[in-house]
Amino acid sequence: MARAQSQYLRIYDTAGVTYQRWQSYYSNTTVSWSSASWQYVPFIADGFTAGLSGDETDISIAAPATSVVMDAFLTAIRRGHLVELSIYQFDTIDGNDTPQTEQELVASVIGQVVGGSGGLTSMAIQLGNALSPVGAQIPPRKFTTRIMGKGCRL
Amino acid sequence: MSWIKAADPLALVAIQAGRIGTPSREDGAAGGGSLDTQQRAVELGEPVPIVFGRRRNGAGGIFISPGATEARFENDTSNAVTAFYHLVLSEGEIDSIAVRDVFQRSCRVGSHTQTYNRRAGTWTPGNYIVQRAGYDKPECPYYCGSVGTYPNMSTLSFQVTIPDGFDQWNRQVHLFIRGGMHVTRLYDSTVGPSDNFADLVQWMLSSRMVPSSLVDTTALSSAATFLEVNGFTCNCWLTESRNYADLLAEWAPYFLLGEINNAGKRGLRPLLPTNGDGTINTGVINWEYIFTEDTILPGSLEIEYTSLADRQPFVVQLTWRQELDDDMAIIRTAEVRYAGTAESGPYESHDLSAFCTREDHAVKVGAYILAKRTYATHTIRFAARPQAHNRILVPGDIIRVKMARQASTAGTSYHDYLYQVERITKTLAGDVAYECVHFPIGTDGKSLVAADVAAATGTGILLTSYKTGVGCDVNSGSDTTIPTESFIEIGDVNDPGGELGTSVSTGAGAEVTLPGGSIVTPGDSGIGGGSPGGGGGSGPNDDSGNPDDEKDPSPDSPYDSWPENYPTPDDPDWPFDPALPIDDPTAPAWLSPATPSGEWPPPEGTYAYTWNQSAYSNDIHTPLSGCPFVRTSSVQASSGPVTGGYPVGFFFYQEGSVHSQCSDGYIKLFRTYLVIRPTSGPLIIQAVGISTSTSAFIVQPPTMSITYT
Repeated sequence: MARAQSQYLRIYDTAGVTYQRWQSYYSNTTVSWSSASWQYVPFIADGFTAGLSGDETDISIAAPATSVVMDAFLTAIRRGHLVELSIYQFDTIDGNDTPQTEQELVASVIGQVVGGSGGLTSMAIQLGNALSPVGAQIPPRKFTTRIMGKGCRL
Repeated sequence: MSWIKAADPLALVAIQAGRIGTPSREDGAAGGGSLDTQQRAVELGEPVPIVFGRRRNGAGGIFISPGATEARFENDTSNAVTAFYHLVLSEGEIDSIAVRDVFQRSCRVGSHTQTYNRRAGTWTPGNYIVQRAGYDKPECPYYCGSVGTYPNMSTLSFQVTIPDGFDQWNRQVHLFIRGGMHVTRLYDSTVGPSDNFADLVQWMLSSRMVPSSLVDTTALSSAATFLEVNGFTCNCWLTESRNYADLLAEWAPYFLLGEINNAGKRGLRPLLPTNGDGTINTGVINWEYIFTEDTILPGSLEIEYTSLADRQPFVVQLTWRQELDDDMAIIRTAEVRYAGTAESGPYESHDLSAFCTREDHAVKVGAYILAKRTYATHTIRFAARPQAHNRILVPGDIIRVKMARQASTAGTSYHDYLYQVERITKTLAGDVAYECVHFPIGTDGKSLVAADVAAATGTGILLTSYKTGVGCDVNSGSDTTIPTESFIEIGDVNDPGGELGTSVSTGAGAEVTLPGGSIVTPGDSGIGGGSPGGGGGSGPNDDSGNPDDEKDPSPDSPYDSWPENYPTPDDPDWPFDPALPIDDPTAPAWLSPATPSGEWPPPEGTYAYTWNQSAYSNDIHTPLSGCPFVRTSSVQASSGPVTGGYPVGFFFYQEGSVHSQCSDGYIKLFRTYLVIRPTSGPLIIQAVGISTSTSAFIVQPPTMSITYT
């Protein structure tokens, strides 16, 4: 048995409209999986964690700073798009050209594009959720002049 | 770019797993509060509070002391001060408050009206205190605020009259809330007040715009069921701004919940094993997977044992809040210890009074704190190759780890324990790392912590208020009346913050469109008649652009200008209140005019009035074919005797409108009313004439005069 892992990334909005489908295993080819076409983009997700504390699913995705990646990233972070990242494991002896129907889902995570950094050649995209670890204040609203008028002084 | 990765110290896993450590600060109960203090004013920029809770089964509810945003003070002829306070209760809509649940200091006094999404009450803020002969002028605040819009929040108007010589009009208003902010309850899918902490968490996540895809609604629903079935309720008043994660980290363990982040979705999970119906599982624990040497990667196993300091027996002191049905809340304490241990301490205090209103809830939390620290002895971390467990396990699952200790001379022993999975890390290399906390079970295979928590019950003793002394209640403690709502709509409020759609056009005769469609043309003499004696001058509703010369006898009336639609005398919004006390300090001066005899009230007799009115057309309107000619002007005059009192002025109001086929709009009907002041009793409003105008006309107010004979 020769074990391999493939990663799939889907960018979509809260209404369910999909904007990007990427896969990073089958080089320079678009493959079909789960009734959809997945474009080859050489990205790498550094693994992720599920846990019992608040912000454990901050995942970093490294990708080349191509126009496809940049456009997708800028649009996603501006509009708060969701990202679904899936990792599959399969036996390469059974086939290595197209996704196998028997491939096993290792992990899947959903997050928002919350940040990114990089240079002219590569990007590191941060996935997580929009809840600020410092901000995110409760109660959410504050009294303003429009709400309460000038206010009294007693 | 490369990232520096480091694992959390294994000792932290126990805390993250729900073990509640010693509080870093121990203080008095947060759920209490002083009663006899001065009414607090809301500061701009402070948070809009959230009242969350529900009284049911003889427990729950919240006692709040809201801040005031507007105030009004006035005194009558006996120098009794009437104070009005506008209070903001909560974000969102809450249940109506009955008379019995309104207090000022510790007394049921005053009256109130409550509303939602509007400004409660119709009074205008301000200091209307006047010097009364023979009395000292009460010193009331002068900065009374202005009317706000209060969108999407519950508000209350409170008023109280205090006799001369007492200054209790300035005391804090308190309210007992039996039904807090309305939310969609996860447990029964009903919109209404809730005391379920999972509902509050879901509301907080949605208010922070977290997409629903990132909220684990299934986990929240399970947590809601757990809370409901086990009686862990939340009745709280959030007034201070704090970080969501901090609030959750501090409060969730006190509901025996832990926050979970699974595949990116945030939710809550019970810290105890549960059955399908949400009850605590006190039966044999089944594990989801067993790890042995076959699955655990060599060299990846780490064990961290609980320190001695965390193993010492101690007493958990819990502070909670008993809400009485007919009196102020009582702060209560409960002590939990294992029998025969820590008779003299040490004590560890946990303050649950901000949200906990049930003794059993507090006691079970105390039992959990004790049991978790007593029975759980270590945490573990290991890595495994991805196999079946990869697909099966999620944080919170119970696993078994059985590893052999091979000693060269002492034989084989086993490290064989149950654990609760706290964190799962899946890396690119393929291995899966687990961090887990010891899940202690007895020889019968049942959870020791769950058994102790399920068995822990309170004393069941409920205290009375022990209120002593002569009571000060004016209203009854059993009065469940809900006062009628009175309010000012958002659309009727002049935008205090400059944010509403007020537009000003340039040029001479600029028109200012006010919210509600009223049109005011600066410079118009407005409505109403001249002062007695035939002179001109300002009269009621004189919108000359200077709000200070308003003589409107009902200053609260929104109809101060020349609106398109007037109410009629039968309309509850009829702005002129004939029952207005003549001596009321807000009554305009023209209601007490100078008399020919120089004396007031004037002697009984017969008086005459003359009324002249013209309707002008500033724009000749071409009639449609077949329609009668539309007059361009008309003069109407009327006069008559006045009996029963002294005529003091006129009102001129649009009474209604009739659609006309002959104009491009409606024919407006205006009626003139004479105001007569009798020697005693309410004013007499007498209709004296009617005129009409098409929409093409701008009707000038009548010129009126009163002749006294």
